[in-house]
Amino acid sequence: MYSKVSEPVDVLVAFKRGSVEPMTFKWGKRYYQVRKVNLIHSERRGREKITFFSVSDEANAYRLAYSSESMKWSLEEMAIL
Amino acid sequence: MLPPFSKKLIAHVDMNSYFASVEQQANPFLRGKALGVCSYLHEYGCVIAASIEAKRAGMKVGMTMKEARERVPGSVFVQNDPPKYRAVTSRVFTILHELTDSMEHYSIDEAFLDLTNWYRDSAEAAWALTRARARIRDEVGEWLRCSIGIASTRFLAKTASDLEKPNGLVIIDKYNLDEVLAGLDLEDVCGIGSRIRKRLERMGYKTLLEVKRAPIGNLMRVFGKQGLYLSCKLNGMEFEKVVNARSNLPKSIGHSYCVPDRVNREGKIEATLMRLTERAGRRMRNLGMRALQLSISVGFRVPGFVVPRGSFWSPLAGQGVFATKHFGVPVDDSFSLVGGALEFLRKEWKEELVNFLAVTLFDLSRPTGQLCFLDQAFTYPTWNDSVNDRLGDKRHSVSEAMEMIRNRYGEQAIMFGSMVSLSNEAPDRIGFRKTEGVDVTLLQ
Repeated sequence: MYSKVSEPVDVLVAFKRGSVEPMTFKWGKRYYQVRKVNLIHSERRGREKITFFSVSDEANAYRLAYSSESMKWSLEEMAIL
Repeated sequence: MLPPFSKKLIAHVDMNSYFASVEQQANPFLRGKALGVCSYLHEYGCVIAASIEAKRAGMKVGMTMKEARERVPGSVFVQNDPPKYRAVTSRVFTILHELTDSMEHYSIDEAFLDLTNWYRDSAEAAWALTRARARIRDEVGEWLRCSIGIASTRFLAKTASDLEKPNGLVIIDKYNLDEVLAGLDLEDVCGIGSRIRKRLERMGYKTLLEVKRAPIGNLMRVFGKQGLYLSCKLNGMEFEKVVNARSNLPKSIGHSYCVPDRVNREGKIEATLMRLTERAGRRMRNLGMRALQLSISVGFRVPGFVVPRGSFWSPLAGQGVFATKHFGVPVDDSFSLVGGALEFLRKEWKEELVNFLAVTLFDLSRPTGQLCFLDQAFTYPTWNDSVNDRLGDKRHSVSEAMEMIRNRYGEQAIMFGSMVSLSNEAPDRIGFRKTEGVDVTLLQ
């Protein structure tokens, strides 16, 4: 169902209505246009706070993660149907 | 003398097909599909939540993944993701907390709200709750749906919220109570199962309305005090208050794990038990509590044993052992807890194949600060039989230091040596009645 990816990605975000929303991300050599941010949730790993963005484009759903400690983005999972 | 019909205004909010709805919220391609959320993605993994579409097609919570797939061909399954559900619950509860100062986090997807004196009547409360529901849809996720029940007691509010699913809103008051109860089956309300039903039917009561009108003496003769409670509940009398979130502390904390063959093969039974005990201990320490007792269940795999059809399935139904340890004084340090658990395992386990492990900490209390004059005599000699008082103090200090390291660097930063080789065994699990980890932000 979900395939684990855990790879670093470049993300372009927008600060909208007081929150952050990923707009586009680059994974490998391809750009993915985020059509909708479906769910945002966070998880603590010690003092580090990881914020997960469940996003989707026209074809797939993805889970992006932002670490407050390392200030890095990664693509955690990709839904395969 | 029995209390009069309650004049309180209680609401019960129940998120519909919660885990499945959250998964469908996160992944829009799952919407409209028969989806099962499983504890493990294995053919014998249990379905812990089914989407509304799956329920309509016949999938039931508690089925194995194999059964669910046979019943609903084409259904999709995902593994549960506890942090996601806790985070969504936190956001939903934060919205609900704005309605009242008295709210009980009844479970991960249910809450009771005491709206007495906050709203004039049930119609005004219904308006406020409908607005809160719209906010949940707008601010948390458009796929999340909840049923709302409003009544004068917790029991009737819960009954009301179960009447219309999904996304219903039902009000029960003293004018429509009889009408509602007349339309319900005996087992449709919380607290009546198949065995109580049989006893009620033997007494000649076939509907809830008949039970409501039954003389209390008759019910008490059969059910004792519970008969009185049942009569009071059905007659709209309040004797259970909405317990505020902060004062609602658990009576026990536990973790369990269905052990796969892999763990037996790799000889990691002890390490898995340690991890379960550590998890339970950590949750207990986060609540600032200590345990006086610890119980352990170990289920053994018996080749060829099949649980009889129709009987209550239990991991110990094959063969297993269960024991309770009394520490003498309340303890919270890792060494005492893990030591107590391991001591029992080493005594009772003779290298059989294990298929189930569970640890429960109970008899919980907060530290009182009272010095124990008999500390030496009653301290439970755990980790090592040669333990003495001074070592006990050190044990406690080391445990506190480990706690600080975990708070800073995460759960896996420091652990007992035997646990290092454990990969994903005994992962974090979500329990419906577990509401720790659900943090709400209250308006100042």
